Amino acid sequence: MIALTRIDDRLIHGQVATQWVREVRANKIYIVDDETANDEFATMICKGLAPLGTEVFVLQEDKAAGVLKAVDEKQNVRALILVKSPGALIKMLDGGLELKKVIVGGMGKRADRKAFYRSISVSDEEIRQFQEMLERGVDVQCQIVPSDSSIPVSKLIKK
Amino acid sequence: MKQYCSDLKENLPVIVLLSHGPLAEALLESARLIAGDIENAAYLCLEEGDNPQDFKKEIEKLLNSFTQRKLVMVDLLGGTPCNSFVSVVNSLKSEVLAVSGMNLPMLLEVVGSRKSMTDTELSNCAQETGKESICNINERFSLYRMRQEDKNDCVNQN
Repeated sequence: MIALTRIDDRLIHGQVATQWVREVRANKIYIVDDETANDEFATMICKGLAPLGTEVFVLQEDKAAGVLKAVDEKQNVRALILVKSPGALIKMLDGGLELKKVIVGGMGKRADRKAFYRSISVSDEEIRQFQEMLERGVDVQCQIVPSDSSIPVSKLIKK
Repeated sequence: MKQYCSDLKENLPVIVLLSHGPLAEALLESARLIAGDIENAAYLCLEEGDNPQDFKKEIEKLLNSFTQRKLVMVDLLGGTPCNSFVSVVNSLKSEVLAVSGMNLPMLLEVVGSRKSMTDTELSNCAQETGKESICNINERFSLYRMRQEDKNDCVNQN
């Protein structure tokens, strides 16, 4: 099953490795990101960063839906899906993957992004992608670490 | 001497950090960056010029002030914070376990999984995590091997 889907452009880092993996009892981590998947070295680093008790897989964005649909069916798998931006999730929805909930945990400052919520910044395009996800029935929430309360993205967009 | 105690909750073990200088304070601050707010945590930092006798008294006072279960973490086996704890341990109101060599992975793991743990489990968890978190990064990511190959390539070219 899919235990957690998180947008975090740092992929595997301290908050994910030590807090989220424990919180959702993940045993597999699926990184869905073309840039990482196309870079052998980055892929190797991500696999080496697997927190104890987990295994890391790196998937191409347009192939992820198929793989993850099968993962979602497996009861002995608790998958944590990591993407860098909402665009990869739209591709997965287009591919037929059902996503109930997505948390936004890390989107760093960039020239095209504006401050959105605490340390999270988003571009106009990414706002549009959030809206599309909401329209398609995905619950999108900002939550940086498990001990934070989550804030619905829908409330933040309207501001 | 610098002392701190977070908000306290019942039924959650208190993590007490003891260090030479600001390490305990900084470790907790660093852990917060990753884990968010951390309840039931306290520290005592021994500063230059502090009297070890006073430090001992403060440790005793601090540990006796908690009704909750607790785990002490010290920076250095055999250092003053460690030895001060050892010298007061028998006069404490309840048995308190302590581990040395505190580090960030150890603290994060204990903070995250302490709720349902017994004192012994807490102590074992801290020790195991602390040890497991130390590794050769070059080996882990095969970095050294790649470098060796680069060197071999150079030799072959020459």
